Amino acid sequence: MEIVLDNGFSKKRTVNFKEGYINSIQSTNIKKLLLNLQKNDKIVYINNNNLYFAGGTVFKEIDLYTNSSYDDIFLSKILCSLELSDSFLDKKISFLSNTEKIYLNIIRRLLLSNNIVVFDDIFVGLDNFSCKKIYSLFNLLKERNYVILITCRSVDRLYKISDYSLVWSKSYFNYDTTDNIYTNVEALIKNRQAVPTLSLVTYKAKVEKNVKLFYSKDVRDIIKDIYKHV
Amino acid sequence: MGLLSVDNLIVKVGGDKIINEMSFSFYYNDIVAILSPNNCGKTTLIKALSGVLVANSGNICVNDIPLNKRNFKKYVLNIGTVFEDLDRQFLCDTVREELLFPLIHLNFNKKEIDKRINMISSIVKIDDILDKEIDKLSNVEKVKVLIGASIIHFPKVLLLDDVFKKLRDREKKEIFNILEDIRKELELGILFTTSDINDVIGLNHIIVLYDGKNSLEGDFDVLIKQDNELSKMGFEIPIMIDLSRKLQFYDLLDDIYYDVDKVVNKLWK
Repeated sequence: MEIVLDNGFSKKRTVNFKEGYINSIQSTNIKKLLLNLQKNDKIVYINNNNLYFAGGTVFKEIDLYTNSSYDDIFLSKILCSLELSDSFLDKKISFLSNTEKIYLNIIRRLLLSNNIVVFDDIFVGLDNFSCKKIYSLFNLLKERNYVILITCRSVDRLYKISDYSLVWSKSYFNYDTTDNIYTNVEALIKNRQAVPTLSLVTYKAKVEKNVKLFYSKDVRDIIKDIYKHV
Repeated sequence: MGLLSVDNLIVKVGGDKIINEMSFSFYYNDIVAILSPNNCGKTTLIKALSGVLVANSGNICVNDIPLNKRNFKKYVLNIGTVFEDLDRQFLCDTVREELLFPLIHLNFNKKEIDKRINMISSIVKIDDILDKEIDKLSNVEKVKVLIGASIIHFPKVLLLDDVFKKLRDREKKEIFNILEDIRKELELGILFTTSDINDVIGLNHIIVLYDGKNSLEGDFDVLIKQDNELSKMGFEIPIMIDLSRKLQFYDLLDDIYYDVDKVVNKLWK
């Protein structure tokens, strides 16, 4: 799916983001880039700011927000991914926890029928269990061939969960598989981009200690590898 | 008795027991963190401590003043609170007006108002943005202004509900430095809630709120030794701590290191 990106810093770029995959974006001036994406009416933009609701119950909020036009089956599947029972729909907005408000915002936005979704720093304030529910929601969206775009302040998380990644700085532009992007540590360092912690350990072990570790996304995997080399 | 004491606190929301027999206390000059996963009652606790929510049972006391109907006004004057949703707490158009508002309502005279605005704006480092419109503030500026407005009546306790979550690491550090200054200058106790272990690194007093009560309590070094338990509760263990702890388990490291260079140098001397 071709999307024009404008970070107001470098010239505009068109990227053919992969459908049915999680695409991460790391860019200079990302606020401007996201602001421009929000102007595109084909894109659903979701973040955790300004969680304002009309009141009443969750069901009433969804009904009002979508103008009573949404796919019931999709709603059930979203609730299932987020491990929410049907009784969540009857819950009063005033009794929702902050995390439940984040879920409700995601649900009402996803029920708008666009299939390009930007999740902007959606993991802020969420614990591990809640993050895993969001990953499960991503899997549902992947099955439905959505273009999932994510931004996140933690490059470790981007490395762990995305399939494809875009890194865009003043002098560097690369859209590739996440593995290729985040194991090219030299290019990231050279262009002053954040490097995932475990990639950095592997890179420094090789460059500074001549120890050849595999690139890992999981702490347990790198531990096994380190154990063989000390 | 501590500066703030909570004894067998029970708070229900919509019929559900969110805080369930929680007890703790802290003293003047303490900075206490309530570390809790999502949906475990952080906001409910702050609402109960600030007097916004009425507890179903138990006792809350600040500076020897119990929270009840009779002492309500006295109690709340000893408390300053910043809630999680930053945007919904502003009442005025500019930063100066935001600081002025509580002082006018507490009938302070002009001389005292000027003195306090100068003092507090200097401590929370907003003296250069006093005339800035609220709409134009960044998140970190919003946090500073809300903290300033909540301590301008010189409370004994400052409560902060998950105010760090929208801040970048550098901004969090800035706010922590300001909290240190507030603690020293105003000699009050500070309690903040968070679900991020990164926010409590190095603290001396951390209370883990889980299942409605304090399930773990201690300083950071004690707490992080329970990393498996914290992980089971839903906390994300920061990656350098996770890596160090697991390497410690295999006797490959002797301590927790937050820097990749140090880990690499320790592993392959």
